[in-house]
Amino acid sequence: MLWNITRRRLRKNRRGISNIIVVALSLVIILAIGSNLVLWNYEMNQVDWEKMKENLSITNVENGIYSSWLLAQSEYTVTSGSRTSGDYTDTQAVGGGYESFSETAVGGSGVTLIDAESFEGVWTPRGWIATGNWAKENNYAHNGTFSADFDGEEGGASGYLTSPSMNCSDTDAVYVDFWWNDHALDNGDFMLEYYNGSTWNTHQDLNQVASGNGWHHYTETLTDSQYFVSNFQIRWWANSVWSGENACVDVVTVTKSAGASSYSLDLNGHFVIDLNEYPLEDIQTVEIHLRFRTDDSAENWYLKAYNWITSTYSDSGFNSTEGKTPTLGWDYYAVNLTDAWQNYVDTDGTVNVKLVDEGADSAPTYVAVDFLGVRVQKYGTRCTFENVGGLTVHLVSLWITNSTDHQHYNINVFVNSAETKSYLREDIILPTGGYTIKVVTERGNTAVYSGS
Amino acid sequence: MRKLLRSRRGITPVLSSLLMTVIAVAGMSIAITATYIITDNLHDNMGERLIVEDVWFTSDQVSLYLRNVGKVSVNVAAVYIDRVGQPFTALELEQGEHGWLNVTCSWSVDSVYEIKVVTGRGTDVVEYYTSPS
Repeated sequence: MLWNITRRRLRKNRRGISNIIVVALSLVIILAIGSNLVLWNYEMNQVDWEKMKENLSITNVENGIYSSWLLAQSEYTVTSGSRTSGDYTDTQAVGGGYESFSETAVGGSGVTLIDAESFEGVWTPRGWIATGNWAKENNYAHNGTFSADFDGEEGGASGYLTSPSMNCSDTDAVYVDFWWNDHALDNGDFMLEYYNGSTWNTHQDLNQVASGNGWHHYTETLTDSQYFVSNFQIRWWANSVWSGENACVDVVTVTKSAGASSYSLDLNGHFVIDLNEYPLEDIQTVEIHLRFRTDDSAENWYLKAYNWITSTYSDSGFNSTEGKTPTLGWDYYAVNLTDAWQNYVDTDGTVNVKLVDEGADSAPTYVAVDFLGVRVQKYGTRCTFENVGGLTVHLVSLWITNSTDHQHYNINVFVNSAETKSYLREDIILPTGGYTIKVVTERGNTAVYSGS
Repeated sequence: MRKLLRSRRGITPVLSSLLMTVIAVAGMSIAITATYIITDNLHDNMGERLIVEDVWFTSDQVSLYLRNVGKVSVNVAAVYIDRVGQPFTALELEQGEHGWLNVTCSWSVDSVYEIKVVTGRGTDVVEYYTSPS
């Protein structure tokens, strides 16, 4: 009815149609503007809402990147003490089996049998016997001017340098200490032999104990009872040494224990850094970690490393030189070689590690080694991000600032919701002293970490 | 045609209708253009988002690292430090871009400054920052 009336009116007054069209078009334009703005506003609100829902934190920042553990690949050399169970493979992982050692009596403070023979006087020294090319020469000497020197020759030369006979029948430990020089020697070229009163036993191939040209320090506490005889002798056997090769011996000291009253343990491990994976120029420092247990809490234990500059085992320059006092349970002991690491890593990546007690004492301590490993710390920074928000975050910017510098790095890291992600940058070196690390997300949020 | 030529009054309604059509089309064009301009400006204003990632107080200069996290490009039009306009190097950031905005001004150690960055569309980012001691 109403529609019929309206149609009749419109037929009578045609101007009404124009008004309706104008109003309708205006409404369409207003609607277009309104909907456009509402939709855009919705989109921007969505952006802001997503920004508000982001929840990111930096949970940890590590200065330096650690290598995997470098483990002993051969049996430990026990220069004082004895191995009682297990082998070196038991020290390659925490838990499981372990390798155990016991302190044995040392004679370092007992009776001196050979007193730092340096071959400075008449050749051969009294009681010594030299065969082959052994001679007193001054081209190599660890102490003084001369050493006992064996020069090789075409076709190979051999000869023995034999110590005087020593009465060791009244002891339970003989302490042998000398320096030897390696010049282009091969395995099997230079042997250390002991005489038990009836036969000579080849005790060590010295080139396998320590290789590389130069002087090497050999120390050993001999506790094998077969050598506690009245005519104990030591000899160095130069075996088929060729021209251009030579071996030297210097500063020979032999003492025997006056009685089983003091005990000590000294073991050495051989570790090698893969320089292809960890070039020397990328190394920031080196760490040594030990997990061990003893049955005596009265003496400290020390980790040392072979200093290739001074040719001695030392802990000079380590972050801690106080040693570790055992608790009678499993203890962790770690040392960092700090900036001095270069003195302790040979050019081929070799690191020789020593575990030694504080000093000889009256108790024969039992030591179990569960883990002994070396690891390299490279330059770089590792950040750990934790996203506890409901959205994936895209990290686009990383800042490292301190009082003097503001370093900016572009990054491209996605961290899923409820995920913790480790981010490694080898080109970032944290500043010394206090610093702040800031990470910025693509939506504009920031997470901050302060460290020093 | 003959009828039109005979009756001159017949052409008037045609002309008036054509004129009205032209006027209506022109009006609509103006209205649509105005709509586009108005909505586009509102779009841009609503789509601006700017954050200050870092503030670095250096010698006679305060440097702000800005990141455009909005949906449109941003042009920095003014920088105020403690409500005083400061000279700065021009900076325009496209969507997702970032860069340093260097503001030339002297500052005192261990002081709090209110720094406001204003864009060409009027969006501002204002925050307080402490200078190093």
